[in-house]
Amino acid sequence: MDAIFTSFEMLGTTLIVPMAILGMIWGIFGGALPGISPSITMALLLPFTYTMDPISALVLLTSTYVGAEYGGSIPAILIRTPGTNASAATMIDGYEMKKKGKAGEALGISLQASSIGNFIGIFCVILLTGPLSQLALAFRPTTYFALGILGLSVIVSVSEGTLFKGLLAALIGLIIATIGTDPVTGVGRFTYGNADLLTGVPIILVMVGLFAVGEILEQIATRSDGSVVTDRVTRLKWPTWAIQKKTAKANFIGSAIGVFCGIMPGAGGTVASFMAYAEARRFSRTPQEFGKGSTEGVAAPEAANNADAGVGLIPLLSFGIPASNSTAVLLGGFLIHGLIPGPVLFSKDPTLLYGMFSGLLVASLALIPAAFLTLSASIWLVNRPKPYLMAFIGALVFSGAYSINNSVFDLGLVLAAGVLGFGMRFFGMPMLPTILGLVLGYMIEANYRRSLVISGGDNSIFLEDPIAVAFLGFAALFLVGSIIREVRDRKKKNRDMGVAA
Amino acid sequence: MLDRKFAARAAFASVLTFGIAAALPAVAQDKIAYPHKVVTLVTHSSAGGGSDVFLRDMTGYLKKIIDADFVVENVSGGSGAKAMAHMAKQKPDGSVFYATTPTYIYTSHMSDLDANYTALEPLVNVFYDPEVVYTRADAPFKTLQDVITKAKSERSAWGAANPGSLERITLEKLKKLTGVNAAIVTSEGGGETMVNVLNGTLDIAIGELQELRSQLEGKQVRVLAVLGDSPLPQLPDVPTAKAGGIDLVVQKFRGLAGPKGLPDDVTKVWDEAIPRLLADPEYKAKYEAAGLVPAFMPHAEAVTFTTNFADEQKAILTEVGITKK
Amino acid sequence: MDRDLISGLIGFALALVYLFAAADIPTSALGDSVGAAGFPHMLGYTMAAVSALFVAYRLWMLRAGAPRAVPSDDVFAQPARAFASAAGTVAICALFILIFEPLGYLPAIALLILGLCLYQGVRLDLRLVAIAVGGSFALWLLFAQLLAVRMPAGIFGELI
Repeated sequence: MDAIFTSFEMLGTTLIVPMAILGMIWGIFGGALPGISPSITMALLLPFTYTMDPISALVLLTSTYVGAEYGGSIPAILIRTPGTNASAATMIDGYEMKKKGKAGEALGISLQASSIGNFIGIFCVILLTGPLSQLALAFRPTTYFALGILGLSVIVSVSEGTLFKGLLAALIGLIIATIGTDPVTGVGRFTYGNADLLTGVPIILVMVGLFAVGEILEQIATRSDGSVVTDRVTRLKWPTWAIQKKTAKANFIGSAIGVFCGIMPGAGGTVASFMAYAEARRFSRTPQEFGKGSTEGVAAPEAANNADAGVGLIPLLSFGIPASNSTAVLLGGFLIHGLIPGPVLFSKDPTLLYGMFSGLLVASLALIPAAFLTLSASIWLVNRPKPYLMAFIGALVFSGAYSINNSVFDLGLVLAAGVLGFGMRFFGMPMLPTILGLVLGYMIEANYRRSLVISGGDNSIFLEDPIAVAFLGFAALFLVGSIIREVRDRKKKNRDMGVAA
Repeated sequence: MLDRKFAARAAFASVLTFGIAAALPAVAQDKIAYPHKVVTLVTHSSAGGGSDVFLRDMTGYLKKIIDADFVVENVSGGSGAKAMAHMAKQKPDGSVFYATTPTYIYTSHMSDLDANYTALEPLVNVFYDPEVVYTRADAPFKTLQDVITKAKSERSAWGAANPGSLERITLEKLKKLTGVNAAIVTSEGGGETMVNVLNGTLDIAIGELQELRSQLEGKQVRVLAVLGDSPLPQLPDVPTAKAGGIDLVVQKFRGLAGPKGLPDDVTKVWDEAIPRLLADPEYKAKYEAAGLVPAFMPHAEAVTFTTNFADEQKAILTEVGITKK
Repeated sequence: MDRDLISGLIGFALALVYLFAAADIPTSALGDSVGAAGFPHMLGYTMAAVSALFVAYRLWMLRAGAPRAVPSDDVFAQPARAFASAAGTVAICALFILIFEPLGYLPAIALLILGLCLYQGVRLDLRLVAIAVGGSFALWLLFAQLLAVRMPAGIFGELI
């Protein structure tokens, strides 16, 4: 508890508050641009932090980190383009809400969920860094493999009643994930001497291509049918009490899953947000609304990826191990000031840690006014006439894609993914399984094979890891449960159709 | 203490090579004239990564020695493959250099690239990044030999950061030298390897000293052996692997390279500048704290060193069967 | 023809192409028991099997008299026209990618905006040109100046 009081005391004495707000706005802005990842947004600030004192620098960087996670949901909801990897799950129902003219509400829910997720995440960091850090060490290759399988088991429930097509879509994602350097032997797979492919196909490029470019192609191709987006809402709407009550459970589920995934170095916000989406649906009173503009479907993934971002600081702060690209940049921010994060630093100089914590708390509050300031303009922008809107989304998407690696090849990849997305829309294939396969494929393969390397090819190594066994058990349970429900639904549907005919 | 902190901060201000050009007061020594006003230093690591921090630190001090401005450019992607392709297109006039590490040699060997390390000409070498073998603090092993003994009788798992890297091959070499059959587990980056060492999944791992700073400070890991010619000033009590009877020496170099055909007047400037850079007391304090060992090699030596290093690694890669030819 | 049936067949064809490509994965003496090609092979065979099952299932359903698979809110009522239109958009984007580096960021983005607008039937007038040029300049300020992304300078060369 002491930690919290010390944190509050520091607010008045240092530059924490202005830095938190500045970082927040910059983060939202960077996160909202597709292709500009949270880590790039933070890295851009690094040179400016050289001259600052350490606390200001760290608060600036961490609040940017928090802001970027939220910012990713803005284009996801408004133009069906995930700004960050983790916002792909928010996009599903967020964009559906937008199509129904409820963009303001969707943004409000995502804002509230982000704030809640942030708060819970940061409180976990402040109160539980010690005990949780021990848990972070319990994760072995076997555990990560099991976690990947658990993530994949969600596929059935996001396949929207088309199991075969969902499986095919997932396989497409898994196949794309095999392009690049082999995780165990280091040989190139499907790279054909191309330097751009050596490190694999960037997930964000595929997502932006599948969703944004696919959307542009579809919108332009179907211009005749007059289904113009009618959205006259021009400002963000804070969720009403009724909505808040409805999304409370989703917020809680999302935050819990986010905290859980955040502790594991390498699991990442994307896995957290998809798992949160699936779980919120499972426990929802109105699961049929998911995929059709459910408020809970927006809240759960947003709460999850923001909680994940906060808790993701634990491995860095307690062991000096960066769990993600963003925390690696943050580590750079520490090192620039000659500070090595880890247990010694914070017992030696606790004010630094408390300064950071209070900065994060201020940041999660500052999120709300910062969002109100920036969002009205964004909403106005996406309400321009469709032809201009499509052209500008195209220009924005290609600019963002180029800024990741400064590579024209990447632009080609985005366009190719767009063609794939168009094809999948035409055949009515769900795109989420593809994203899941893409996100989890490498994690599953690499850790499966690493486990076997350790055991010398003996599969029983997975049974020796109790956490892995639990994960695999859950995965099997989910899979069987979902299939039973799917079959039951289909029978019912067939019966209904028979009655109607 | 406060003064030193302030001095360090002032030094960081000078690292700001772009944006605000923090004009430094004229220093005692004369700056060496250089044919270009702006020199671009390319790195394959992204902003905040290992080579990037190395370059940005270095440029601040280099500015005081060479009469030019230095700009760091990140050409990330493809483990250096993209940076090499980028460099191959530049003019060899001394206006652009690439920050080298063994990674670019490895990437060249592992993949069939249009522009590989032979398109570049080493300029100078600056540092060695000492590689060490470490284990968790409460592990039963006290020496590298203990680990080998264990690996002889039962299955032992060893960790290295990337599948196709100097570290991985070094462990393969260690297996060959000692005749044990240990499992070598790779991961992306050092984070996962460290977790697996700490939780006991891996008996030992190999890594750069600077990656271990936090864990060493926190007494969570113990260094078993230094893979160099002599013990490190930062770890005077830790013996080299050689002293323990295992002839394993790794030279993870950090240097600069340019496009092929660098003119003599350019290479001469660097041959003169780098020893002065390494002698700068302020910089010395910093790089030693970061765990780097100065290893200056003038242009001529750097070229033969790199060629030999590349050939040697190629031979090892072929021997252990990673590359075909 | 039934759309689901076609997607199953395409999936099968893709699986074969992938398996064919996976045969070229080099083997390494450092390989584990699964090997670099192990996972791709498994995925390829699974994809072939799932596609084949899907095709069989659809054929069986169609014979049993199930309605053709058409989503209720089908926006692709005229597939041929939709494909032709999408091909045009793809061509514009591909052209943009070709000119992006030689021409430079500002002109290429302005032409992309102009091209996509014209293709969607916006009348070519001064206003549209101003929007395209202004838009590309705004995006350039955002990415190249504010975010310091190294965008190709192209024909403007050293000017920017």
